[in-house]
Amino acid sequence: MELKKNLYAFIWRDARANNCNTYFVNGKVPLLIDPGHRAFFPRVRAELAQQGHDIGKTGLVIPTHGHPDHMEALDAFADLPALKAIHEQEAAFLKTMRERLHALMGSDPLDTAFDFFLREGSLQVGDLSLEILHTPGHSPGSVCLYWPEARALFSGDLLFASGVGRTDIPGGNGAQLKESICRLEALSVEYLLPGHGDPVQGSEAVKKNFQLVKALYFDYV
Amino acid sequence: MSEVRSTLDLVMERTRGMVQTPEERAETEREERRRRLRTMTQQLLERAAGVERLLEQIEQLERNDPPFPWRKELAQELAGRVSFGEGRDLLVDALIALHPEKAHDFSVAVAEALARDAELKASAEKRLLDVLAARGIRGTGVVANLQKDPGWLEEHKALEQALAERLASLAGR
Repeated sequence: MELKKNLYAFIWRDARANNCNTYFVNGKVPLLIDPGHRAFFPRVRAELAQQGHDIGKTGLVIPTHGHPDHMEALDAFADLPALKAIHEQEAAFLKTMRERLHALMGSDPLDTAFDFFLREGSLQVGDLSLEILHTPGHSPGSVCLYWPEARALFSGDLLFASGVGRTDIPGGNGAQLKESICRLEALSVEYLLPGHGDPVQGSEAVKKNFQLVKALYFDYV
Repeated sequence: MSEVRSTLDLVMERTRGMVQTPEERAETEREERRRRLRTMTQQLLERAAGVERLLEQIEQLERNDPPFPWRKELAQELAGRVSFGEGRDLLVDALIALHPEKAHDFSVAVAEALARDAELKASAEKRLLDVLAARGIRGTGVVANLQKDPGWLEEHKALEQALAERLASLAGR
């Protein structure tokens, strides 16, 4: 689905399997965020092709964090020129936890080489200007990507529509999750694009969503 | 019914008549002592024992088993374990404690190697970031992945090895 010009969302709605939403931003260097599980990636590939985009021309793939439901399909890019990047802290965490995490989530370990790492700061991807926000809580090196020009926030598994990411998994931390969410509240956001569930559209709806999750979850996280 | 024999019986039967030559026995003893030094070094790295405890142990060994060059062998073991990673400072502190007269030489060797490594690292990072920039990727949020530069990995490893050898040579003088 094309949310706005050059911004595509592939929302995962099948409740029988856990998979994340995937987002694609078209530009001089096309960017794919959270490719998801490898078994479900053909759907993204086919839908992008329907929109006239060749996955082989993707310039950069970024998983918002290192869980298999967000990054397992990175191996679909093994023979393609796309660069791959993840937060430096998540890469370090994966090194120590990878076997255990994948065993927990029922997936085979990946042997993924990242071309570079991310840290809090600016990220220019061709003609696209993004901000990398280090937002730990769901995992130590989770990131959110903010696209100021579109007022779009890719929030990974930190923040959903009416929900927050789990913190009861290795590397999860409730206090950090709340702090990360509070940081995001200051941004001007028109599109809240979470790792699971429906996007939230409209700045008022996004503001209300922040208030709602704080009221509903912050006492229990 | 056949006789039931214990494992010990079987081992004794198999090894009956086997004897070590004096040279073999001496080598076994040397290896046993080196194993002891490796354990002491490991305890230091795991912070199960500090540098002071290491010195106490080595002095005790020198008193109880004087013919073996305990201090020299421990210094070689410590030097051989020095890397650019974790535990370097502990190992160098222990080397200095063993040979306080060479403290300056040890420190200079480490400082020079670290400075050179930092230079190589900066140069490799620049190379990698330039490649990314040519593909349209740049910004303060971009960190080079040095593991993607086989040249740097090789240089880093060689420099680490050279440092260990230099320290071993200093300790052995």
